Amino acid sequence: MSAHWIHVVAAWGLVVAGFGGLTLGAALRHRVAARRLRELERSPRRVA
Amino acid sequence: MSGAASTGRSGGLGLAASRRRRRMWVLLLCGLGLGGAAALALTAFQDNLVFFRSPSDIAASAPPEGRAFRLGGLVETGSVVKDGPEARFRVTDGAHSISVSYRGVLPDLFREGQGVVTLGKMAPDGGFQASEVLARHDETYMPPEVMDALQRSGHWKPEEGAAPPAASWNTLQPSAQPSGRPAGNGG
Amino acid sequence: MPWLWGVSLAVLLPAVAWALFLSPADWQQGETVRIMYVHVPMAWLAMSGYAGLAVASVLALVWKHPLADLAARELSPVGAMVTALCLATGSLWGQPMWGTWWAWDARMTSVLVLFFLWVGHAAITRAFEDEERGARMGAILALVGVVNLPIVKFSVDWWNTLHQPASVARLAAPGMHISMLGPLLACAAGFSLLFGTLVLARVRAAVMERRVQALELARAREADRIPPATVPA
Repeated sequence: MSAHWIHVVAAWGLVVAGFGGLTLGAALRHRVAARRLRELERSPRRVA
Repeated sequence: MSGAASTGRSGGLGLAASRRRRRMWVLLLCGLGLGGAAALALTAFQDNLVFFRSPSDIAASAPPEGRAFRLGGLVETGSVVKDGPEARFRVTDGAHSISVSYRGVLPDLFREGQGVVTLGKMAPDGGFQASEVLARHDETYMPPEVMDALQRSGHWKPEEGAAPPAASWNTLQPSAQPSGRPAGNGG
Repeated sequence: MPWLWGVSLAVLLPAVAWALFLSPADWQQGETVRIMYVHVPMAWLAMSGYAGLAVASVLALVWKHPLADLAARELSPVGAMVTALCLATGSLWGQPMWGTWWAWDARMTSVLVLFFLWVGHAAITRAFEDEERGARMGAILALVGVVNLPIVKFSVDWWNTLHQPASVARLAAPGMHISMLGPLLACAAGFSLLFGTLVLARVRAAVMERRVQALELARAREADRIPPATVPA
């Protein structure tokens, strides 16, 4: 039964990777959008 | 895409509100239709949806010879015989049982009293020739101490089948006594 | 918003520690039972998430709420991921315990269908140039697929399956000892909070992206209307 520890580790690892990846993705999207929003709202006449 | 100004709150007779209500009815009717169709389809395909047949099913209508199918049930107590590379055991559902013969590695959880699903064909002698044996555990989960306590108190013999009703043990706090030492209080 | 992440982790991390280190092994499955503490929450999220998708789809189709389409669009990739995790952790659990990575029984097949519905929705809502069209097709797909939800739930009761019936069918008499039910519910709560926070974060980012798009469009239109300035040589 303890031979199956690798299954347990793999299962938990996948979950952490999955949620971690999507969380990072959301954070990145937020950063990019927030920065672009700041640029646009700061300089009314500039078209980057 | 938005309709006329919604005055849906007062009396619900604004144009948008009645459009909304019609959409809801369409949705509801489609949903019922789809649900009905699905129910019909599923009842029609009953036979193909069962993953395995029980020994009683086989006794009632024997499958055609040479046709592979899955047989499921419990491993009959005291029926497991390991004969070199071959294992023989009986699969039972309480009413009927069938003898199974298998060459190969048995799953970790295989044991008497455990559920089992096996793939194979009927042999000419009325037994079942298995090419695959899977363990089918039930939905009960408990720590070893609880299982020990149930066994020692005589409430459960795992090799005979399922655990007693969950309500009798799912909050059981066994006294911290290692099995092998006599219990301090009468069982 | 950051505090939502904090709350989610505050619930999830102790739950994980409880499940992995402080709860007992199973009498027959041993330490392998610890896969249950991720597999079951993922299954519950896959199904309840889909119910949420269905609600958003009804709101979009019937009430035409602008955020409903956006929420549905951001929900399906996350739903697809948890369903994939459910299937993968299920296989990792099934191989040592049953003796097979997969079986085409009613439970596993219907969850696979659920996965395809999630992926289908994520794809359809992103496939059209006209985003509103994609959103409508997605909403219809989501609602057509609702019929699969009771099938997944009752598959283990209606048909013979390799997958065992529900242990926590009724909270009154669960087929699980309380020392294992506790960490399971805690993990379910933690992962649910994380799921919800993640979807909210994505919706927030999407709303900002929409605003960026609108502003850039407005800027471009302005630039067209103003004649190019003549630069003195």
